[in-house]
Amino acid sequence: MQKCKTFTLSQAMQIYTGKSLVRTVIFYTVKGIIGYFFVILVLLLLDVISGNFYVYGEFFNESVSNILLGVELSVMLFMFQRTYEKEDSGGKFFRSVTGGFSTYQKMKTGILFSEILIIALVSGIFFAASAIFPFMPGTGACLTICVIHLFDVGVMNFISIIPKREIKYFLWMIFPVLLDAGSVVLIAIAEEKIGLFQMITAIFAIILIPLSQKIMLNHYQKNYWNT
Amino acid sequence: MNHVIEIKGLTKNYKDFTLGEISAEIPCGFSTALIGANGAGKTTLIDILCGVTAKSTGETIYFEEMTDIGESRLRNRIGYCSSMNFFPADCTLKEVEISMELGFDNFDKEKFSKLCQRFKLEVPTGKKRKKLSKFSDGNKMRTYLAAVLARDTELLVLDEPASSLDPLARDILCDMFREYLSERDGERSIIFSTHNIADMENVTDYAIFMANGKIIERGFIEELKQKYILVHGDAENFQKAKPFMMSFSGNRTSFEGIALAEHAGMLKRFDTAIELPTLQQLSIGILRKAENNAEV
Amino acid sequence: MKIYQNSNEPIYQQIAAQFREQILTGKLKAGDTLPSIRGLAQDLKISVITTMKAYEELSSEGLVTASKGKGYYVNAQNEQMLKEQHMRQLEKNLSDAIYSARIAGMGLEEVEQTLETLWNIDEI
Repeated sequence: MQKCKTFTLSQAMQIYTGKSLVRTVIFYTVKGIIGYFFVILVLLLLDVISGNFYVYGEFFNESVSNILLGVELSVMLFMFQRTYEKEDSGGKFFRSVTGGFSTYQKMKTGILFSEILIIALVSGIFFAASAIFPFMPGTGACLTICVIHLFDVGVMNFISIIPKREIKYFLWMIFPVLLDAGSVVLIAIAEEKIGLFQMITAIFAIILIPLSQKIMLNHYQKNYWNT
Repeated sequence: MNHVIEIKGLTKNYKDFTLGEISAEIPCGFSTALIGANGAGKTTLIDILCGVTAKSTGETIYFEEMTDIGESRLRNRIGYCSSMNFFPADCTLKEVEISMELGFDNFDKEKFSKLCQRFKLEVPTGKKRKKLSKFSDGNKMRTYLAAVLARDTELLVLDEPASSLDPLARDILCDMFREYLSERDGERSIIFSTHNIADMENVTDYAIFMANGKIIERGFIEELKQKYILVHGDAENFQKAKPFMMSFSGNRTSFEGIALAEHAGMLKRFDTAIELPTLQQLSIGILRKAENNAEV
Repeated sequence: MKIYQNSNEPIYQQIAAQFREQILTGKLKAGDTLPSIRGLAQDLKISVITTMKAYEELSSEGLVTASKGKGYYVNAQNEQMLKEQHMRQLEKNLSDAIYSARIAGMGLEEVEQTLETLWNIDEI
């Protein structure tokens, strides 16, 4: 098959979303960090107003920060879950653009790399900063939350295979939340064993990401691309 | 006569609808209208021709030499747009411009700007920030048309381009069709679908009528206007005229319908008025006949 | 060029008739080119098929010839042919006049008188 143009991952992403890969990563990384501090600020204000240091006093522990970080990353992941089916707005345009399914594939892979990079960057920045700044998650927690969300990337891919739209969207929302809650609890109660947990999750994530991507793309091409 | 598209034995099977078998030749250098009721299969046929939907069987030859609609070279030669939700709803005009420029080889940004102006799209100077979801249906359609017309293509394939446009915009569209064809006289063609041919009648050169997934009539408009006649008569002569009519509608005072021109002689004997049909009246007659046949 | 969209006369015939008149009365001379098929269709807002058909009819009557790349141009009409065309038109008009006369109950003499009067007015 002759091609006039082969798109890079970034160009494919631009066709679908209007933003290049780099711009997407920077945008969501900055958004995640700012979002985190925004919520912290609100909580602090509430404390000051109530005069009580409720959050940052007796009950403050790293759990709040951990939850917040987890939530920011989960929300980001959710925002990236779009399938561009034929009946969705844009569906027909994307199916008529040059490159067809290979452009879709490249876009999806670009999104995958974006997700991984954002998770790594945000966690990494918090990891580095947690030694210096207050109101941050612990260094260990940053690592845990990072691998949990990398694992989540693969899971979100699998969820997108589910045919019923309502179930799909529900799981996309609920699953990261469950994972976050679970991981925060785990961090709180199993500090010593946390290293092992991080390693196992990381290994699963490394296997799951490419596998889920391949399966998801094959499934999509067969059932949703040209039907 | 060159054919811009040749369709052979095309079918598409869905659970509750079958398209096909379709065989047709679209003449090159002219504007072809696909006329049919909703659900006749026009959109399915257009989507298959443009690679948006996969066919079940059949072969299609484009520009007398290319057969693979997945090929980028062919996709660049064809300008396709649908009538609803063509671009993502959260897109702005600027993002439409970016996507089109990347997605195709022959998109002209300046021409796109000019076409947006001609279609009176609300473009805040230079910013183009408003999302498509906030546009009216008519403005969305104008955006899609501006985007596809800003490309240097050899064939336009448009699914119901006039349906959401007001009469003035339709007139502008007709002018744009004519300009498109005359810029490369004889080398460019247009295929568009419609369920209301009245507005597009004066840019139609060739018509294909569809019903229930099949083609039921086709021809150049002058040939069709010679093949069929429009018949008016009094109610009392209706029963006598009926056997010679292809389709008709009647009430207590009069009846009207379409018949084959060869029956004009017979029909005149029943005190009827014989006239040239417009494409609109022809469509009503042909589609009504197909509906009656389907019910039988 | 005037065409009636909703008349019973096919548009291509209306166009052909108007060009035919222009050629036979000498308004369009030998060698003049007719408007392009697409240009005329664009201006009149009709299908290009219609203008094609009008020109084909004129071509089959020998009034115009198609030249590749240049469009249609008017043929040299010989005097005899022009005269014959006008004669035929005269006969048609006279037939119509006779028909009207019969309906009105006018006799041949009365008709001749009217003809003379009108002829003289025309000369002035």
